[in-house]
Amino acid sequence: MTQVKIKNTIIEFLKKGNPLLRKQSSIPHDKSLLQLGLIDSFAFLELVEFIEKKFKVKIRDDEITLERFGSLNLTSKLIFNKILKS
Amino acid sequence: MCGIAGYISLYQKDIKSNKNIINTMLDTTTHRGPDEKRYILGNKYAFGTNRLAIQSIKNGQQPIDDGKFIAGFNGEIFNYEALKQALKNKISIKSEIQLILILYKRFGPTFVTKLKGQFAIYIFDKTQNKLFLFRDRLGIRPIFYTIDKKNGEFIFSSECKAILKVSKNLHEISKKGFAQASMFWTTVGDQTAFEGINLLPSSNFLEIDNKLEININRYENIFKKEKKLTNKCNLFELLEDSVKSQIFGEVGFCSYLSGGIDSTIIAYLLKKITKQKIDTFSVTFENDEYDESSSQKKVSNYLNTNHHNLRIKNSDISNNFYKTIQATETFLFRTAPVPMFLLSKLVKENNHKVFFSGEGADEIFFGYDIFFETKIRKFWSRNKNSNFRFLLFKKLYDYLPQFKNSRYFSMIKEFYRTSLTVDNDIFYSHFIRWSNYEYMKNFFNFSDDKNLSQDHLLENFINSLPNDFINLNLMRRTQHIECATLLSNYLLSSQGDRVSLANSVEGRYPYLDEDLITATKRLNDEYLAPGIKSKKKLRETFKAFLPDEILNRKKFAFQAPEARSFFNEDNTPTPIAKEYLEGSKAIEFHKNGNLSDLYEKIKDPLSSKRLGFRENMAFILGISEYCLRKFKQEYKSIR
Repeated sequence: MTQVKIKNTIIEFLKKGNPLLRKQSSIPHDKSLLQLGLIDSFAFLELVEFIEKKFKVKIRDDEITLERFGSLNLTSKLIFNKILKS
Repeated sequence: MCGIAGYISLYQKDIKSNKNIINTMLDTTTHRGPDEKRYILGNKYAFGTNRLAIQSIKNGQQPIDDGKFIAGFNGEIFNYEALKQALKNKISIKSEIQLILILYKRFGPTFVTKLKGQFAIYIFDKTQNKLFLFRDRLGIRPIFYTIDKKNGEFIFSSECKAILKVSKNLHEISKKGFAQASMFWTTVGDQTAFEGINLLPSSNFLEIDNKLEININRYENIFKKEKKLTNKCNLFELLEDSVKSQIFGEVGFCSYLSGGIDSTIIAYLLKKITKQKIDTFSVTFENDEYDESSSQKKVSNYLNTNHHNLRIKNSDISNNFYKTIQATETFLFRTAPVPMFLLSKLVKENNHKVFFSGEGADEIFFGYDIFFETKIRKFWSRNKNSNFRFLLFKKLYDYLPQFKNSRYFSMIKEFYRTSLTVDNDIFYSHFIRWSNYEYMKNFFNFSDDKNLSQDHLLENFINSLPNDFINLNLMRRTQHIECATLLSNYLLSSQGDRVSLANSVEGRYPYLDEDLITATKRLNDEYLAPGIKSKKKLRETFKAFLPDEILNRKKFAFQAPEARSFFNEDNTPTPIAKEYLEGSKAIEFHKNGNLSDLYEKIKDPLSSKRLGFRENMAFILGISEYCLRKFKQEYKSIR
């Protein structure tokens, strides 16, 4: 799976149940959606669970940082690398 | 408690027309004082009072006119007897308003520093055509005013609706006021929800002369820095004295009971002092998430009170929201004023005029999370790489279920970590809260106007604070900000004076006693709340008198159901929400695209469970703004 594909899968997931993102014409790929207020903490935690299930990877608590989850680009990169390693 | 109103004009007017103005104003605010309506008329002025008779029921008629001065007031002077004793001609003083006028004549406008209590006063000097307005230190009782230089008029009242009814101006809903509420959670300084109507800030007096030149002065700063700190203070005695001084009047009293320690202590002291069985009142919610009923039962059983409980359904919030806005006359960022409005109605139905409240304890004794969150951030920022310092957040928020989730905690840690670098901000404690203003811009058009930029709003707020603010330490600064915003302009007004007086009952707030506040200020803040132990000293003081399970109960913030209560179980909007969803489309100020996305999220039973604080707040702010527009239509001017 390519990094772009991973990113699009995440975006599709986030759009579900979040009308605020559904109609957002341009979702920033290089900024923290959490910090921008486009998703909230609950949605963020659901996203982490979704990632683990969907991509069959494990996310450690100490990986939940801005460096890794601070944007869609960073998150998809993290997942991509994890899949590569496994 | 009462409602006051007044009108001065630069030009000679027909007395009949002045009479019509003052009558209209007083009739618009009858709820504040249904016992008696009186006014005094001149060619260039009219002053009046709606009286809710509590004290000197026979002799306390208002306003008074001694030939040279006209005076009236709304409130209670808790050191009335002491001040009377100190004067030589005490025999002739039969009411608080007489005392006020005598003190004014003797000491001039600074007489106000001698008063203790909750008050809004007007004194008109007929010979000089000069009017003075005075407001209490914490802002418990309101005075609103408008100056109309074009028509040569000045109008003031306890509530905006009376001004709207007689003003010759339009007073549109203020965008600036709305922007402030979106950032600080309340309007600040002299700002109100209406353009051209101002609020006299607490601890200030206003002077207006015969050319309508206005002068506003701060007469005291109760939060000023104390030079000498001590660790000696008899808090029990001070609080007991405060309660004693406020058991005042000829009409009896009751007490609110939230189930927390603040109101429990007040109810305990009331019982101890009067040795009577007292009536207590509380709110509970049908929705378990917000329900405190078990703690309330414990306290009422322990103190053996006549307990009255009001159970609030989700639909009650929506059904009474507009009525509550009619009372608060300002933007709301949460729905809690609605249950407080309904609770004071229950108090009234039980034939009470006076209730005691625990409001103020969280500010004065350091109860709020924001105090400790600020401390932890500061502590952590001194060693940014520490793996342990941030763990204090877990301890602070252990009452919130999500903090038990280690992932959630990691996320929150990241959130706070990004704020560590901003170190010397004078609003260090609040800038995270206030940064939500940027989020509110998703829904409301604040970006077009540079007067509504975050920096501009901050500058306005700084200007409304006393100079001494900057000298306070971090904890005292946090306290001052809380009192200047949330306490004065929300808790004491939208959850206090406005909603209770709408039902003709008045509140007493013993934690806001001047002597008590001054004494606690002389105590080290670490002594009052060491580490992250909220209200530690207050708890300790009552350890011998109240059971541990009540004193050390887990934290519970008073909260009511928010945005979701505006939708029925079948996901259709309630009547007021429906009206808003339609009506907001016509308001260019509301960003309709994003707002309708938000409605979708609230409407959807699944996603509404995930509504965050900010989303709830955006919805409540929006619907309150809409209701204020409706309110303004209802109170159209007669002139």
